[in-house]
Amino acid sequence: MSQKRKLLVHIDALYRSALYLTKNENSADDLVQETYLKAFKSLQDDKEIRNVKAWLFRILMNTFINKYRKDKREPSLVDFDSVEAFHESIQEEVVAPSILDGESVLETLVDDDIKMALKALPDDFRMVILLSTVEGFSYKEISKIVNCPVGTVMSRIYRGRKMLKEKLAGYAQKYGFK
Amino acid sequence: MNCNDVRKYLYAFLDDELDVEKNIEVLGHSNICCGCGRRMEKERLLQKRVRETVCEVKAPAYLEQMILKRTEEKPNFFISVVKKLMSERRLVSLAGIAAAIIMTVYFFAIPGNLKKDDFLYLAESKYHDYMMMPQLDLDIRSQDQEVIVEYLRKQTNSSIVLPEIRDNAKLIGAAMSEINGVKVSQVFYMHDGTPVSLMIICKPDSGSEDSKNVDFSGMKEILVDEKVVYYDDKGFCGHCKIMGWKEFGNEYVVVSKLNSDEMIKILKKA
Repeated sequence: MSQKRKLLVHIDALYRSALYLTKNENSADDLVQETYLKAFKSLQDDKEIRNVKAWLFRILMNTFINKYRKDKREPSLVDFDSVEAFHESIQEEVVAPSILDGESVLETLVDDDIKMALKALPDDFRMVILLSTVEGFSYKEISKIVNCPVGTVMSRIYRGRKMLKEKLAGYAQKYGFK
Repeated sequence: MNCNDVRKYLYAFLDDELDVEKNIEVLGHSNICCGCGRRMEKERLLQKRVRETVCEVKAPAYLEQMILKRTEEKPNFFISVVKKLMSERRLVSLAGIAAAIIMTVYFFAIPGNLKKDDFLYLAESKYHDYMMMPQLDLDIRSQDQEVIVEYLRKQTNSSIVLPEIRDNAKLIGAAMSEINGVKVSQVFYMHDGTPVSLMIICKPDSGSEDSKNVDFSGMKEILVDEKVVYYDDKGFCGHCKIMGWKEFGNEYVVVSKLNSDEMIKILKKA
């Protein structure tokens, strides 16, 4: 198998992340193409790449941040005022069990609810959820991919999943769950 | 291990990030505690739903072909000209011009932009350590301003005068880091149970003598040209943000601070 083909086996994984990041099929196409063109260019340097998938995702995330966030003047960074301290949030959950804990609530939600909830997350949180929950990268790998400390990755995963549950709980209420 | 501990380790457990010992403890507790066991199962189910939903997406068939086709494309005219220029004797003079441009851009345009990101990461990293532990990893712990100032002087070759702070805030220590050869000291205060840091960044070209005098004594807010500066109203993860940014003759930069307006709240009015 040629080197290019070896990289292209990850095209589905890269595309689905690109689609959820850009929320637009054309932009996802562009992002994946750009990622591969950069990757192929790097291959010419004969550098040894140990973790090909993580390396490709790093290129994808960097390209997304540099290109798409610049285009949008970085609007997707988390609004400081809407996010309380990480520590406080753990305490909150103790007293506020989620509606999703109820019987058959999760089963009632349709895939579109999950897609909508994911897409509604701020970029930083959506990124780490895609990388951890969907692609199964370790926290250490994610920290290298998104270029931030492991502690930040853990915090974003925690907050991201909490936000996701809150959004899904909102959808569940529409189905009559209380 | 109790329910709170399990809640704390829940995601790390589900993501297979715990060490064996903690893993066994979490498993042990969730086996005997119905509430935690159920919560864990629900969480696992939710992650599975998310994974399955996202994984339904496949790359369109044309995309792979399109990528391969683009890699085989011939470079355009501009690239060909550049390559030709680079391959001839003009290379040396071109390299000289390029180096001059890079140096100019580096010294007059890029440093601030690049370092802001680096410094934010640094600030965020310390702050998250506090959130996760919760404990600040400080190189020196002292409430004595003179001790901290002396420590900073030794580390950075700079004479630093720390700002006056209100009585409800207290100095707790300092930590040193280095980003691309630039020394960064973070002086930490505690205010209302929240760590607040003042970052002092010193350029690496300091001589053996005190080459700088960084004076915060009259500081109420971060001022640039007599105006309060807010670099951004949001941070990388929501926990941190730069409150102000100032360069003094390209010698050092002052950044302040992390959480909300804490830095301003603790400063005494001059």
